[in-house]
Amino acid sequence: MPAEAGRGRLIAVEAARGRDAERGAAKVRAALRSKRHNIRGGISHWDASGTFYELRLSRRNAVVLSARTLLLLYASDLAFRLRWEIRPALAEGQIAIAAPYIETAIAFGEAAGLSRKWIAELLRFAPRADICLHVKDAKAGAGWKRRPMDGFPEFAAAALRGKTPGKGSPRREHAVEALNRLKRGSQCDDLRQKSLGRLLRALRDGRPSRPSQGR
Amino acid sequence: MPANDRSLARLRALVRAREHSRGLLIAFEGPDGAGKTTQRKLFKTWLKSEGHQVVTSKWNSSPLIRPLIKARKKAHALGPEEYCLLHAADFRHRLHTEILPALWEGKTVLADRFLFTGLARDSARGLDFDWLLHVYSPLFWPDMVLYFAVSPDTSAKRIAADRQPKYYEAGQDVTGADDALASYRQFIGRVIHEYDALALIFEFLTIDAEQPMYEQHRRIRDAFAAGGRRPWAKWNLEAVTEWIASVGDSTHAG
Repeated sequence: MPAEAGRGRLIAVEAARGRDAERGAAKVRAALRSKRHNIRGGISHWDASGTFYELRLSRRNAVVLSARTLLLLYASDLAFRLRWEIRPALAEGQIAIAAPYIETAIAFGEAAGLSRKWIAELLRFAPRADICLHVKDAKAGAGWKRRPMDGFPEFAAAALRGKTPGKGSPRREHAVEALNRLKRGSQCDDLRQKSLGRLLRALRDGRPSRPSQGR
Repeated sequence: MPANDRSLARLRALVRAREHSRGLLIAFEGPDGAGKTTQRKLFKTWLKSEGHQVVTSKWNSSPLIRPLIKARKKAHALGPEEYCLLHAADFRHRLHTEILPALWEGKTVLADRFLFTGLARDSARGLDFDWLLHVYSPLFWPDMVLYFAVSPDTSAKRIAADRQPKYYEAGQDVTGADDALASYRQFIGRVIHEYDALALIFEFLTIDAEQPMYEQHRRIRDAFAAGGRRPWAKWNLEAVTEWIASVGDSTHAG
C-alpha cells in the first residue's frame, strides 16, 4: 500500500563503495516491496544527471579534478536528483531511497582534506533523511577498485590523482572511518536485516523514526 | 610541532616567499552589455605593449565542465542550484588549472568575469547569499575588481542591438516570461542591484560604462599604475595553500 500523499519518507543508504550503496539500496527496496510491508519505493542513484558519466566520456582516464571541484559536482548532481527524483516521490507520498546521499560525500570529502563544515553547508539544500542506513565495508583495508563509474568514491578517488589509489590508500581508510563514526554516533544504523525490519515497521505504522544525519 | 602544522607552516612560507614575484589578478565585472570584454581586450593589448605576460580567463570556459553546462543550458534543464553549482565547479577548476598557475609564474591574469558574476546572478535567481559565499569559499580575492556600471536600460538596449538574449541570460528560468527581451529587462535589473551591493561590500573600482571608451580605458590604466595589490598571505592564504596541496597530489589537479 503506498504511503499517504504528502507523507513520503526519505531513506539514505551510505557506503564507502559505490556497489555497496547500490546493493544496499536494492535490499531496502526489496524489503519495502515484500508482502509483509508492501510499501512503494524508488531508488535515486548517484549520477542520475549524467554529469560524471559525461566527464568521463569526454576525457576517458584523464579526468583530474580537485576535491572541492568534485564535491561541487556531487552537489549539482544531488540538486538534480532532488528536483527530478526525490522531491517528486516524497510529494506523492512514496519512499525515496537515496543511494548515496549526504554522508558518503562528507566522508569522502573529509578523507580528501576538506572540512566537514564546508561540505555539510554546501549540501544544506538537501533535506534530512528520515532514516540513514550504513552499509558496512567488508574490505576496509582494500583500495578502491579501478571502476570509476561504480560510484562517487571510486570516481572521485580516480579523479584526484588521475588514477585509482591502490590497496591501503589512506583516503579510503579515512572515508570508511568517517562512515563508521556515523554508526557510533547513532546517526546511522547498520544495514542489517534485523534493523531494517524494525525501521520498516516504524515506517509502515507511521511512527516517527529517530533523528538521523546530524549535521 | 605536529606534522600537519609543520606542513601548513611550510605552505604559508611558500606563499609569502612568492608574494613579490607573483602576477596580478584583475577582474572585469559587470552586467551583459557593459563593454567589459572590449575594455579587457584594449587593456590586454596595452599591457603586452608594456612588456607584461598576460593571460585571460573567461567565465564558464573550463574545457572539462563548460560542455556539460552548455548542453544543459540548451535543454533548459538547469534549476537555480544546479546552475550555481556547475558554474562554481567551472570556476574552481579554472582557478586551480589556469589562474593560480599563471599568477604563480608571475603572469598578469585578466579575468573576464570572476566569482562575483556567480554571486550576482545566483542572488538574482533567489538563492541565499550566505550559502553562495560558502559555495565559492575559500574566496580568492583579485588584486583589483573593475566594475563596469550601466543602467538596466542601457544594458538591454546594447544587448538587443545585436541579438535576442538567451534563455538563462534573460533569466527566463526565474521570471517565467515568454518574451526573452522583456524577461531580460526584468532580470538584469535584479542582477545590477546585486552587483551594486557587491561593489560596496567588496570595494570594487566602479567605472561608468556609459562614458566614452577611451575615458574608461584611461581610468583602468590609472588604477593599474596606482598598483593596488592584495597580499596573498593576508587575503588568499587558504585558497592558495589548498591549491598548492592539490598540486602536490597531482600536477594537474583542478
